[in-house]
Amino acid sequence: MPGRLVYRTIKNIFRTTSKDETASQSQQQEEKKLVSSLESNILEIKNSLGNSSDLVIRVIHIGAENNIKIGVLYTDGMINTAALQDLLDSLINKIKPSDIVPTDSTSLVSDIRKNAVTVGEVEEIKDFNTLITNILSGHAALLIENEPQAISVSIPGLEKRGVEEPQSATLIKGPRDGFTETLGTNTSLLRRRIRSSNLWLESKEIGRVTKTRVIIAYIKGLASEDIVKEVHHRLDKINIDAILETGNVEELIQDETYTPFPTIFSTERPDAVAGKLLEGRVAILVDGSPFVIVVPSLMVEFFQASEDYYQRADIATFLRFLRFFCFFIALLAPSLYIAVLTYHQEMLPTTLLVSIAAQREGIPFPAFFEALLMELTFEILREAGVRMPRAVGQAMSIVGALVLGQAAVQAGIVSNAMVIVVSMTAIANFCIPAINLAISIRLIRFVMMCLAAVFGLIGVMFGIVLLCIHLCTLRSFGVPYTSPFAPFILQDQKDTLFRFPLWSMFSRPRLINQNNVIREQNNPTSKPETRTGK
Amino acid sequence: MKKVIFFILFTIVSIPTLSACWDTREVNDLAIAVALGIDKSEDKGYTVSVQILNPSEVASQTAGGGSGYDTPVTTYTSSGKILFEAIRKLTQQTPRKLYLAHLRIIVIGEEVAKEGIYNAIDFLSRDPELRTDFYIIVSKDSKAEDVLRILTNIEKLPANKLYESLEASSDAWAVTGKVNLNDLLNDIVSEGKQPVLTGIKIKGDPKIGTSPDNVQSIYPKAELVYDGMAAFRNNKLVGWLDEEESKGLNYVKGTVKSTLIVTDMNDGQVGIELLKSSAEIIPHFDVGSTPTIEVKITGEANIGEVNTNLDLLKDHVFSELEKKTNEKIKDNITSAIEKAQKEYKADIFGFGDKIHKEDPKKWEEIKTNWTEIFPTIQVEVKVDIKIRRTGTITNPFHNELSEE
Repeated sequence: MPGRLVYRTIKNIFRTTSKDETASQSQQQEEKKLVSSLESNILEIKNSLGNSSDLVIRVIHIGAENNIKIGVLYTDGMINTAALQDLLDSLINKIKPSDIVPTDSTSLVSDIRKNAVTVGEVEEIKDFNTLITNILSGHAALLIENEPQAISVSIPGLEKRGVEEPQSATLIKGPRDGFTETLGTNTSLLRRRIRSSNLWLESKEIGRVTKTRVIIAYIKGLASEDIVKEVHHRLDKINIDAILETGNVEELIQDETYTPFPTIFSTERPDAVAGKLLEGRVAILVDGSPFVIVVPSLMVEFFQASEDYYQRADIATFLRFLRFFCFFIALLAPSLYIAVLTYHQEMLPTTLLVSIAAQREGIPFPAFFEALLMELTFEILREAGVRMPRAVGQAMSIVGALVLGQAAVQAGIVSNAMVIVVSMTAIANFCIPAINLAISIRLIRFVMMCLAAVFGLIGVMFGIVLLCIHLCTLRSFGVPYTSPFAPFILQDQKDTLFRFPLWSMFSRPRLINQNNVIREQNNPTSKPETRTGK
Repeated sequence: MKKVIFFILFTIVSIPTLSACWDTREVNDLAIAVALGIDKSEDKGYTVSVQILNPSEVASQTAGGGSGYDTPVTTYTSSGKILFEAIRKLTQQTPRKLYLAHLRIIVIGEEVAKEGIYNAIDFLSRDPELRTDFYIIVSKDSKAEDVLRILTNIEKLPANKLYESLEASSDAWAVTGKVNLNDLLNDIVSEGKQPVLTGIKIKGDPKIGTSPDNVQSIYPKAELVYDGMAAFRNNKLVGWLDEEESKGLNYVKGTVKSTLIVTDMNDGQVGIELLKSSAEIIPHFDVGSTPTIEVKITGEANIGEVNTNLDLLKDHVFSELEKKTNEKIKDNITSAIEKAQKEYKADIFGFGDKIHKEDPKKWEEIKTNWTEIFPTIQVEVKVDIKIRRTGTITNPFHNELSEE
């Protein structure tokens, strides 16, 4: 309820601005038709782009007596130069004069279209808005003298980064390709993995100004129709000027804004996305972002790494357990330390208490403040480490490790035990494969520490109970966030805490996929038949 | 609606801010007490001695560094009419607030023990701060105060040394008894069982024991040594059991984990290492109103040392050894029973308890004058120890030497 209150206030503050913007936007939306004069058409385009320097205009003469004037317009850097070369080549040289007979005005355009344009996807356009959008998205526009329509040839050739290993999720065993900023590359990476006609990609354009291309990918027949419909519905509801990254979309379509937990899974790994598509989930790809989001997402997914599926099941299970354990360390270690040291000293073995007491001898701060100080210091170090230019990274780690760690202990400002707790927490935090979950734990940790400082272990317990209640209220596209633990689904436990052998994963997650649960009918084990006793 | 939200937010914010961590104690604000001694004071009250540890001296990393030797513990003494008063009075001397949760050992002065330990136990079991995992011992021939003033070697904390060596001697030699607060309370409230506590003695000069000289020398001038067990009747100390009798008592109680039995054989000695033993107390009610008790000890043992000529490959040698071992154990037990029955009239073995469990009705009849009945009952002791192995060698070297 307080959440709604905050939401309303925020909405009120920002309402006025958004209204103004929509008004100014709609003024531009008037339709303007092309005219027959080449000069004025070019002028009009130039004006509406504000004489932008990346607009290239070339006027060439073709035809039997070089009497047909054609203006070629494109955006510098947005088109494939080789294709442009081909296009100009065929317009000027390869066409026999007899091919183009300027008798009929309609046939002139179609003649050129049929005979002269050898590359790309071609369409005829009559209004300026579409034409300009096309020019800006990698088309070359052919404007012909005395013709009130243009030919738009799609020869996009964006500068793009190659497919590289994703920075955010590295692994030892498994594919090393990652999504890039280019939508076409990304969809091809998915197609390469799922060569099925059932992999459907549906395109959308979001953002009044940016007009960003967004693709909804799912496997027809596996993905629940309702969820696909819901994804469409939520994406259509977005009314915003700019989508620059998947994070923007994620924030606009998530079920619950006021939670530190990520309810939508995002990854840079095509293999992870392919795996999730095959479980019946829906992926959303956004042009210009190497991150792909997948819905609906469960909390357990944030503990799963792609590598789990590429190595032995027992080892993967062990690693899963380790990650869940780390989750609790990262969440609770400092708060437990505070609680035990300020309220429940009797819980410690005597020798441990003695050694901690000896370390704390002469420390000026209470345990809570000490913990807060170190945790904050570490958070600052980490934030600085991420934002900093790589060249100064080394200086940073020296300052961080030596000055803040060792010197603080030697100066008697913090105790050794505290440094151990903080570093253990930090390392445990890095064990969680999904960064967005790791960050949310960092946040909750401070709340837990405050509870521990005020109420001791009772406070920590209280915090955990509240956290559980909160997690149980969360939904991701209608699917309970904590499933398959709450509600408990026995069949889905095979891929949560444990990672069962692949041959035993014969069904897909039940809550996500109701219509096609069975993955494979028989469970082949690769043991020789004599040994299985058949 | 808004009022409700405001109210909820207000409460959430005010709970932590107003309550203000009222029972927070930082570790470095605590005087961690590791041992507590209880003595009689001159004005019929109690004198309490508390051993408080000095963390920076005890923790290994900082010990011996630079500033010279500080004693790892400090003992403060104070008296009052009742125990709690004396403990609270201690704050006048201690540098910080006394923290009793980490007590390892409680030493009850012999005088207090002779007068009765009810009063001392009441505070210890009532205070919620105390964990109940400390051991309780009785100081023999000295005050508890003096026991807590002896510095010890290797284990820097004297309280820890008392704790560890009580465990070790009980587990490996079986002449002491590990009694924690719960055990003691159970024995005290039970009508058919009397408590026993291990005794602690100062060996050497108690005066030297208080100074660091004691621990800086290769052989300590003053030592803390466990010596026998104190038998209680109705919460009062009535007498001491010596080593052999204590062992006998432990056999009957079934608390012997491992011990050594030395038997005479062929003009020499053979050491039998008891590996495990169990005891069974079986009351019989057949004749008359006084029940008889059968004590059955079974167990396994190894041969630990042979200082005589023996052919251990022969069957009859083994059975003879077993026989002698059984006799020895039986001797221990009967001497303990005799002492308890004849001298102390205290049922420290828990025979009454066993009768209570076996035949509650019978117990109702006899429990009121159990103290009178106990010294008269017949106790039959049966010991059956099996010797299993001979260690890494079979026959002793003696055999070969005598052949030459």
